Amino acid sequence: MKFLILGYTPSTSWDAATADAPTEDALAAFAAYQEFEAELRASGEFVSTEGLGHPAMSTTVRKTDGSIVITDGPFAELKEVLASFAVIDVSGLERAKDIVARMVEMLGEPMEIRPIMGDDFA
Amino acid sequence: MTAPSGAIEHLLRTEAPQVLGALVRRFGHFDIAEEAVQDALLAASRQWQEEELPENPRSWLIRIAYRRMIDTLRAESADRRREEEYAASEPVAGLAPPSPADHDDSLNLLLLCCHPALSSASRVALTLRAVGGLTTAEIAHAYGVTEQTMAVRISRAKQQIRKSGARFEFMADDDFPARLSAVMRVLYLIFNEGYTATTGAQLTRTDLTGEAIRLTRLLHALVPDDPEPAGLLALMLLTDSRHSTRASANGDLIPLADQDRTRWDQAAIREGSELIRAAWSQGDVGTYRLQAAIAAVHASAPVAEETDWEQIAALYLALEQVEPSGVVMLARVVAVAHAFGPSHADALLQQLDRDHGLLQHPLTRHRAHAIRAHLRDAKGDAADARADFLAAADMTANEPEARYLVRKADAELDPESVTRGS
Repeated sequence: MKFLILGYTPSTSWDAATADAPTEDALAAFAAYQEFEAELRASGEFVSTEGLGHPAMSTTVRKTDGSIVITDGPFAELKEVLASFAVIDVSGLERAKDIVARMVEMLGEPMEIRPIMGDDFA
Repeated sequence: MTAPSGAIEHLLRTEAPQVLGALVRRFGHFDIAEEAVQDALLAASRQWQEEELPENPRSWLIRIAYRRMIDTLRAESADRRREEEYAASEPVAGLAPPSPADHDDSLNLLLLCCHPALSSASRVALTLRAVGGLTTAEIAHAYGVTEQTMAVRISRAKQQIRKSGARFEFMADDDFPARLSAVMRVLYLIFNEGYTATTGAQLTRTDLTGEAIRLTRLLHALVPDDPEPAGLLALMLLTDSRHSTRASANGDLIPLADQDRTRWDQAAIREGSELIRAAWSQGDVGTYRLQAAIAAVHASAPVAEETDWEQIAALYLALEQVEPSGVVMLARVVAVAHAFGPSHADALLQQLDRDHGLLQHPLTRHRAHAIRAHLRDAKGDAADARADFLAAADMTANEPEARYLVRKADAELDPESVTRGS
């Protein structure tokens, strides 16, 4: 079954001066993460992952009183913002937790697991 | 077209573990999911009687239970957020091989409900509810306790599972054989509770044996290559084949030798015998296969006198090596008495008593004395037999049995007195 993994990052660090010049630690963590991602590709559990643009670049589309309103930015200022996502296809939530626990251990930032609803819920 | 209620009940029992498995697999929260599934099962049994069956009953149940889960979680998160500590210090298996049964959740559920953190009574209750799909009221009825008591037991069991952080999904390197044997013990317990009911009416007992057989069939189907679940199923079928001949019209127990064998369930005997034949030689034989083999030997005798007691005695010897309990040892003594005569059996009992204290141990002494009394009686040692009958009578709390033993003791003094009663 598929799960969406949402990676969050503090909004302050996104805008920090060092954002484009990662530290040694960050590079090491990223290398470890890529190795892990290769494991998940090998096991067939990996579906896709992407980093996201700056939250300021996001657009929110919403229906209000029957009309569609398009607004710049996320709808609220948040301490932590969505930074990346991945889709995995695994045996269940327990396995997803194992995978994401390892990711969080390596990368340090919080992530959210959301089930992707399947045919049972059609 | 509405379905008959029996068919609906069967459908719900079959779907219960699949629905619960689907929810726990995707959303976690075993305790909340289990509650939600029970709600969905009840809603379905009400609604499906009156309306048509939905096109896809499992999806219907999953959707209803899912909504209940969301309601509960939202109500709960208002109070406090649930947190679980992830054991990050433990090396997490990178690519754990898939658990033994990846496609059917029933095995995961059975293993979870028989978690070592739970008491044996809790394991039974939770298995019947989560895997069997029985309602709390049905389980309470079957066990002769109030629904309130059973509800507390089940809710405590779910709390324990949550506290212990038990996972729904099991790694293959988990102590699978040990957990599987816990599952078999629980199923055997359910069967025995139904077969030798301590409480409740006749009908509820049949409910329990029937449910135990159904769940053991399920287990056997999930691990078909494991010979012990096959043996356990065989044992249950062979034992249950005699159920309609075990009691007289007024409820007295009829011993094996006096049962009307023409009324034994031949289909169950055939299936059980075939199962044990097929499973027998696969690996070291375990306790359930040995017991099933003993039951099969009994079942194959057209009349009690033609029972192959020598084979049964040999099987009990093997069983004693696997499971050296007092009960098994005493059963072997009885088999040896039938096969080789009371003198051999008496000598064996003496030897077993020297090694294991069968005549003193509180759990075995009563039966050990009663057996020795019968052996001495058969050998003609009237005085010794009388002493043992009286000792055995003294050790039992069961009044009809005590009366029977005292009458036997009196008969050793004067055979005429047997009719005098007490």
